[in-house]
Amino acid sequence: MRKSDQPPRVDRVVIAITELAPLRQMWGEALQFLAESQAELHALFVETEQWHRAASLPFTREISRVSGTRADFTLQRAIQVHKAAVARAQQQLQQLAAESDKELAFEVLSESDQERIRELVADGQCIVIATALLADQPVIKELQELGCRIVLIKE
Amino acid sequence: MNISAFREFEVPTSELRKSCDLEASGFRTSADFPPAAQRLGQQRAIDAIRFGLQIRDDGHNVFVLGPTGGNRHGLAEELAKERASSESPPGDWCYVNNFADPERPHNLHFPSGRGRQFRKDMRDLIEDLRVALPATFESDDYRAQLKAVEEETQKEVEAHAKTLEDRAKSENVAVLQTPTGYVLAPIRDGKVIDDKEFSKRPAAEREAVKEAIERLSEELRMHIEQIPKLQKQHRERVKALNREVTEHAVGVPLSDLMEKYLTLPAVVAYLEEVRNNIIENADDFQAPESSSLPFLRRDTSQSFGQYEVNLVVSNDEKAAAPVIFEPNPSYTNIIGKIEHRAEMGALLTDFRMIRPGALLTANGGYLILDMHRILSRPFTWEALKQALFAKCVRIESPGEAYGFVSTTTLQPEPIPLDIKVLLVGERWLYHLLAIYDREFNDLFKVAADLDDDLERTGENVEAYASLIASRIREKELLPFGLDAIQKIVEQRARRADDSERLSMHMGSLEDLLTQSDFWARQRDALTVDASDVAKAINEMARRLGRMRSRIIDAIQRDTLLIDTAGSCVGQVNGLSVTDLGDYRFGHPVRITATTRIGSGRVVDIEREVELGGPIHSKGVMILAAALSSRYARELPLSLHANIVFEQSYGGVEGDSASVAELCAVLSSLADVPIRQNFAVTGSTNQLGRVQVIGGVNEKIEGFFDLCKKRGLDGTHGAIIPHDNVKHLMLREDVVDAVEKGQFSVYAVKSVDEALSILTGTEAGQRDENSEFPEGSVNNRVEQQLIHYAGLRKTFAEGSNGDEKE
Repeated sequence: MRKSDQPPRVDRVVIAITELAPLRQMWGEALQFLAESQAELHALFVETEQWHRAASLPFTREISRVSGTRADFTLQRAIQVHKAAVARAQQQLQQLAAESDKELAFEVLSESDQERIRELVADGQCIVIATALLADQPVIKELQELGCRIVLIKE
Repeated sequence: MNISAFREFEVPTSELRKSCDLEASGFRTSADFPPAAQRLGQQRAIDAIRFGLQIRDDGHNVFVLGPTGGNRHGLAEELAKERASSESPPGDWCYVNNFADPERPHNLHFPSGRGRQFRKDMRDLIEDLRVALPATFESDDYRAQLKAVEEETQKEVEAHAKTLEDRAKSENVAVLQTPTGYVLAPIRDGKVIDDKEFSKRPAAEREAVKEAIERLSEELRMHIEQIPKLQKQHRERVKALNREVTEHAVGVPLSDLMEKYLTLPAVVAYLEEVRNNIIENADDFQAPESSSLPFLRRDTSQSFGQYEVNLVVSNDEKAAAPVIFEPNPSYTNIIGKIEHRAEMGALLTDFRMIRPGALLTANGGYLILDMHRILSRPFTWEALKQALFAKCVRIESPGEAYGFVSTTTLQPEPIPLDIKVLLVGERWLYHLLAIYDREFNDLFKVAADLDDDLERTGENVEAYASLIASRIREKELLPFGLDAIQKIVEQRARRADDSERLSMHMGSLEDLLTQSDFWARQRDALTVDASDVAKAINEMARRLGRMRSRIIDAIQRDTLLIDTAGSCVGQVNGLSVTDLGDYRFGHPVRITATTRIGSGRVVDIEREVELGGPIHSKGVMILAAALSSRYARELPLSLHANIVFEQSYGGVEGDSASVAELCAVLSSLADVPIRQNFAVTGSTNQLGRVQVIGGVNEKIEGFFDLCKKRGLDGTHGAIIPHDNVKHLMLREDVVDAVEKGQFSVYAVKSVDEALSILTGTEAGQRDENSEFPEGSVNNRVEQQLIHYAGLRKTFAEGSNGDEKE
């Protein structure tokens, strides 16, 4: 095999998720890359600040998906929604990693924490598997600019 | 008078034991005898059973009466099989699921053999479907169709959402999704703005946004309300798809089955139900989703199990109507039962756990049951009658049937009953039921009464010998020599208690054959001979003879006082028989009588102390009547007599001692001693006529054995009723002793004859003057009674008629 025929080297696979990410699909995608390399695996939970912004408005209401009833969407509720989403995502990813016998690093960062993003992709080739919900977020744009390959997963 | 004076009463040795002589048959061993004539000597019972088997009426079931061991079952089964062989086998019965009401399973009737075939066909169908249905749902084709349905639904849902989102966006509002719902928030340049930024916006814009959010919230709520409808619509689409797919998968195999059973409309209707049920529950047949929790795993075997067939009656391998003998007629063995399986701590059941009883197995044929066993099993008799009256079998637990329990269980559809029941039981049972069970006579109108014995004619003896030979062959015993067969025939006459009849008790015959064979084998013989038969008889008697030995021993040691020599007034040797069921033996008993003046009362001490049975009391009363009618009839009977069985501590029953008792009373009255070298048995009537008694052989042998122990001197003898001579089948050693003049058997027709022998004095007959000869026993009795009457008259006059005893 000639050198040019070899697949591009991957040093790190980053799963970038947010509250409503399709975790199983993203995990399946990540496994495909991991199968072809000895890359490190990172999960990034990107905190969007839209909840806090929405919660700061006094007239914002949350409408239940089940019953259609309306309730105040307070800052406290926004924090609660966020924490619950983080915990659930971490638990699910850890379980998937355990089932596949993979090591997984999980961290939460804000969408504007560009310094940490740069550190993460500083050395080696990186593939980012991101939920389509983050497509328009600055963090994805930053990663693209840093030369990462971005794979968007739609639910 | 000496003994020689009574020669006329002596029974000739030829009549003491009627030997069997089969020499003329020309056969040497049992192997030479032809097969036995069918059902020897039971023609009346056979005709009755055949009548009952042939008559097609519900109440004409048969009750075969006879003693245990009398081949009742054998005969009933043989005749039922004979009848069944000319009848075609009945159909098969299956229980299947009732899809509308699973607690009431349906039955299906098939021509014989087709029930089994149907069960196999349904099993094959299930096996096919078990593979084909999940495979259909796993197929690319199905997945593609399902995906199309899902996409269609998704499009509809998304279209709703997209429309809303687009409208919201156009009004500067974002629709954000939280894990549990939606949040509407104002946006600027695509980003949600916070309250600071929002407050910077012009008031009109703020109001417009607020108004838009309010309106969009309402629309969103309405959209959310639409989601369950869309979900339901989606489920219905999926279900319709599943039905379509399932119908396609099951259509061909079920149509083939319907074609196959086209002549059975009920089966076709059931298959139609199966088809509809499978299609209706198509989701159940998809490959189960895995779950780590066992109780959450879907068990598709249960889904397919509901289409199984429970074949409860199958007659396919039989060429005739069934003949069933149920040896253990418990409720469940007769009616059937519904079994349960434990699952997760609960007891579950379904139509597959219905088990048939003998009524269903024998349905369309013949069922043979032992009545005694039926009555000893709870609920069976009532359930049997109920089934016969209702002409159907309703399988339910006894608790359910009698309302003891009220748990939810199955109520299988009753199966119509067309059966002939043959009950086998003893006579007393039949008669009790006939009297006390008012339903019995309506259901068992045919009584087949088996004869206990067979007339011993030359023809019958040969037929009986053939029967013996057949049994020997059937039981694969050693061949029996002619002498052995003759010996057995003689024993059968002895068993019948009659030299002119042969016992038809087949159980005891087979026991004798088996045991004779055993003793022949013990001596490595190739043929069973008469000595083996004799050994079998003797050993049987020895095994059961402990009580007999003890009694003889007690007499020998003078614990039980019996004289066999000398003479004594008012004392006579009577003869008694003890029956132990399989074995009976005779022995002498001392009977004494005392007399004195009285008012004509004969006291039976046994009766006074309630040790005498009613027949014994009757015998004593008859002898009292005989006494008063024979002597001094013109005078009041002025006698008081006491009669007792000495050293008898148990009950006394029967009237066979009444001759002995009367002789003892007469001896006492006449003051004439009775010779103790004799024993007497027989009952008397009021006229002094001696009548037959039972167990005559055992009684004679009992006295013979005692005399032999003490030494036979030619004076010993037994006096029996003349009418019992035909019953004599004495042991050969007794006959030998008589032949040698060591022992005698006298047969008498009247009490006078017995009295003459016992006293050695002429009893005496009335002459033309109606007087007994001077010195005769009767004369002395009459004189004594006249004397008592005179004394009594004197006493009565002295006490002014105030007579008291």
